[in-house]
Amino acid sequence: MEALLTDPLALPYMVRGLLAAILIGVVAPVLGCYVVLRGMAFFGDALAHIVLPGIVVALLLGWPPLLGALIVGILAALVINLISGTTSIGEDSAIGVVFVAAFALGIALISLRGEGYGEELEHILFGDLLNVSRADLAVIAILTAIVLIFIVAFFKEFLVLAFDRILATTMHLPVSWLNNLLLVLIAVVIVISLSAVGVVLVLAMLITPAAAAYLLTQRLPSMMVVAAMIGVISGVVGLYLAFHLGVPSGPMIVLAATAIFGVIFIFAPGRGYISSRRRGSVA
Amino acid sequence: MLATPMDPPNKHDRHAPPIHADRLRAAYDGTLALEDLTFTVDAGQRVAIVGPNGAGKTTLFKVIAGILRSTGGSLEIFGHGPGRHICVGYLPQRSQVNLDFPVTVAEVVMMGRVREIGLFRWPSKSDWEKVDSALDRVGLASHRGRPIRALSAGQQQRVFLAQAVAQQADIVLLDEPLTGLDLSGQEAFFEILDELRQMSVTVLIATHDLNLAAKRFDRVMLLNRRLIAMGDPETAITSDALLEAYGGHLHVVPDGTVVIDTHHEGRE
Repeated sequence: MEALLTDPLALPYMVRGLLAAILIGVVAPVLGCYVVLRGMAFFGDALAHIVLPGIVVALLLGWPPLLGALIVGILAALVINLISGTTSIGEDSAIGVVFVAAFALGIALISLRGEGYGEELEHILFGDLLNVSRADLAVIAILTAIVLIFIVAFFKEFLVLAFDRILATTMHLPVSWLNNLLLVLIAVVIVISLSAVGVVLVLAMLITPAAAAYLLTQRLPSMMVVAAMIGVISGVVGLYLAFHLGVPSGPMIVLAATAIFGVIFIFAPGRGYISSRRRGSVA
Repeated sequence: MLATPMDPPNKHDRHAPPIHADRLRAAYDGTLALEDLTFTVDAGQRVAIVGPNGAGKTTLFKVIAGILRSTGGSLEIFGHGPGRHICVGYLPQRSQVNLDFPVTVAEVVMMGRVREIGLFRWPSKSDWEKVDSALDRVGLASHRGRPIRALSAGQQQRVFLAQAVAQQADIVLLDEPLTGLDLSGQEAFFEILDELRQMSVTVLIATHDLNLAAKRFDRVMLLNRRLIAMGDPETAITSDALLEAYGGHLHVVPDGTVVIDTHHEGRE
């Protein structure tokens, strides 16, 4: 039993995968708390899909895929913000139009490349933590540190903006600047999470641990800590399962996170399913 | 876009009145919501703003708070244009804040100090002391560590008042703050307003309740896009003014009671 846990650690690529899983398991759920509290799940999902053509173009040009994803992700975040601020068609429709178009473009570009795109596509779509290079790991570590520094530095401003946008405006905080900053941070986190869970499942890293933590905590800092703990546990457990079962890491990590969410959703004191039902029947 | 100009807030001209509007106009969603308002509010006054739905009460608050730009005329807050004032506290109708948010009462009050504290700084001991004294004033000192969602509607209302106190606001705008409060809740609310008056805080309250406006306020502003009347309750609330403000929604019962038909007291 113990060998199942320790033997893989002899493999350098497994160690790199674990380190990446831990870093992503911390940063995505922490930022995900804002995604959950501000109801931005659809935006996050769209952004993940929009990033696809950026990755493909980067591969075509021989650039690092992370770089292509980063550029497109940040641009898309700012463009969506611009569109939803200037049209009357509604933010979700604007996001919807942009994101399916970008995703379609990405698939078309991959197909145009011709032979051998299947495996590459699978890695991009579903993640592959066992293929994280040393350079990838370094980039993930640096970007994780940068995002966490921003979250701490602007903690009180982001808190006001998330809780009471009108208060933020009345006090003349730089609301649109802070908003753009948050969108860019989300884009960055999505890009670094791609290597773990892929385009299709990246939303789970942002939403699932944070949503579970929401049910357990009363303050944002503790919500962030609990979300990070859930993220790390799902990342590590999911990676081991993927290793032993020979399946992509993304689905396993997401299933692990979902299992934890399920348990918390049912049993959480106060706001879980059972307590809510009890309260309901008493009232 | 990424350069963050945190403009220094406007200084006050202490001799200027807290609010002075001159032929102020404002549009909301493309339609004219306020037409040529001219009025002055003096320091420490408590003003009730009364009018039918769509009269422009919320629009007026947004212009004073610097959230919405006026389209004509002028508005001066302590002698300077709106915007870049951190002395204005604005409490919108309750429905606009997510009260299930994971924050404690003290943290909500501290939010009022975020601008004053400034970027890249954490609240100091004196900031927390201001928060505690604000909570003390509204009688919620013992609730400081509780989650905001655990409080009653009236208590939450007082938390947001404490936030304005911690913000050291000189002007407080309250949009329909009494909706959903029971009588004792209203009583507690007005006790806090009395304290604000002692601190010479100017308070503007949008309300549908004419009785309350007549009894508990220094001045009443009757608004229906235009300024219909403004003054002491006795001089402002006349049957002519009411008829002009409420039009067909006003009914006079034979014994002299005035009934205003305000179907739904929802958002404007």
